[in-house]
Amino acid sequence: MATAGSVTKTFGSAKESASAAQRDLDWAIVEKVQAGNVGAYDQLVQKYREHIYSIIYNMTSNREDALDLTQETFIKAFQAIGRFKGKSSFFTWIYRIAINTSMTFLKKNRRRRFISYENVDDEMTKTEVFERLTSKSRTEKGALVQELQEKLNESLQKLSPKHRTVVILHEIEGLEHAEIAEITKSSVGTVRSRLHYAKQQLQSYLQDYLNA
Amino acid sequence: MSSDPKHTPEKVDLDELLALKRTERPSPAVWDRFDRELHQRMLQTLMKKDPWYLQIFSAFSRPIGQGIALSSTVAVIAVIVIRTALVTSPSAAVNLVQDFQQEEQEQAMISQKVTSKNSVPFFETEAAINPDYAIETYSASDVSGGAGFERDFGMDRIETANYDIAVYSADLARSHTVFANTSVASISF
Repeated sequence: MATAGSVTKTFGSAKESASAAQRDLDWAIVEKVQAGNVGAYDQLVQKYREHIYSIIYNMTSNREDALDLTQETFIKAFQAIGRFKGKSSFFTWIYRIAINTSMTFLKKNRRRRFISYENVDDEMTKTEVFERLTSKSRTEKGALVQELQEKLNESLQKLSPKHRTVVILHEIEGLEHAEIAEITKSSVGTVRSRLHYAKQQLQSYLQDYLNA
Repeated sequence: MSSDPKHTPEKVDLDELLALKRTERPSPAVWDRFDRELHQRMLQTLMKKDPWYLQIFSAFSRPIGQGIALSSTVAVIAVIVIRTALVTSPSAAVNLVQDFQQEEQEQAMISQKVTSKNSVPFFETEAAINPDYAIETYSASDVSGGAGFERDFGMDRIETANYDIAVYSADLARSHTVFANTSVASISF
């Protein structure tokens, strides 16, 4: 049976990408692009597109916007890659671009928000957590998937963009506090505080499932 | 299974619930379209010429551009410093003194012209000793005989200081400050 842990392994976490070896590998590719090998940029796109998409999708809760903004993020990174000096790791840098792009989009479209959910992978129904929820709520699996997806997305959207960012990067992308602090250009203390507050909020929004 | 009470089968943790969000992801076919569109957009980006302000910015972000920017800044600062130094230098002060002396000479010539018209030196004349600062009043009520001509908020009279030009010139020659606070005319309502 697949568990939440196996989901993490399958999806891969940004933490793995942040290792020193990965950082060196990314830097080598960046240097190639800076030297004029535009094709090398594809390797970075392939490696990070799903993570970037996940961040933006969870920030916006709209899959069409998320795809468009993911492309925009890679375009912006491509345009600015000549100025990337490698002081931070590439993933930190591109995650920051993704967050900023999402924030700008959310500010511009504050009054016009459409929800468009992504397909839920079959793996969700195979997780232990899902099994537990199904057995307790006695709801049909298909209905529960949809209900859970809606509730999770709604709860995330109720958070402020700054709190949402921290939750997404930590709970969904699996980043460390220090990495989030670097991406959001804030202190580790601020990240912890935001995460604590955001989780308190989410606890209250999702208490039906947590106490099921 | 974990011995942590949080992870007992009876309870679902918030972290576990949020981890389910990882299962929301697009199908592989979406990425094919994504790559195609991204390549097109990147191509457009490469073809598109940046606006002039971005070109300037990118030029100054290069080492050569930075050198040019730095030397230009130094040159501008140098011009400002040198110009300030010239204005406040001793030679400039000498020029100011010369200008003042020339002005004094001109004033003296004017007073000489005035005094040459009279046999008696001007400073000994009655006008110079007791200058006439009398105020003459032109009043609408005077003109109309004082009846039915005055209006509310209308101008009632104009007072002017009557001062002889000769006296004025002589006084000016003696001191620039004599009439500094003199009001030439006043209007009463």
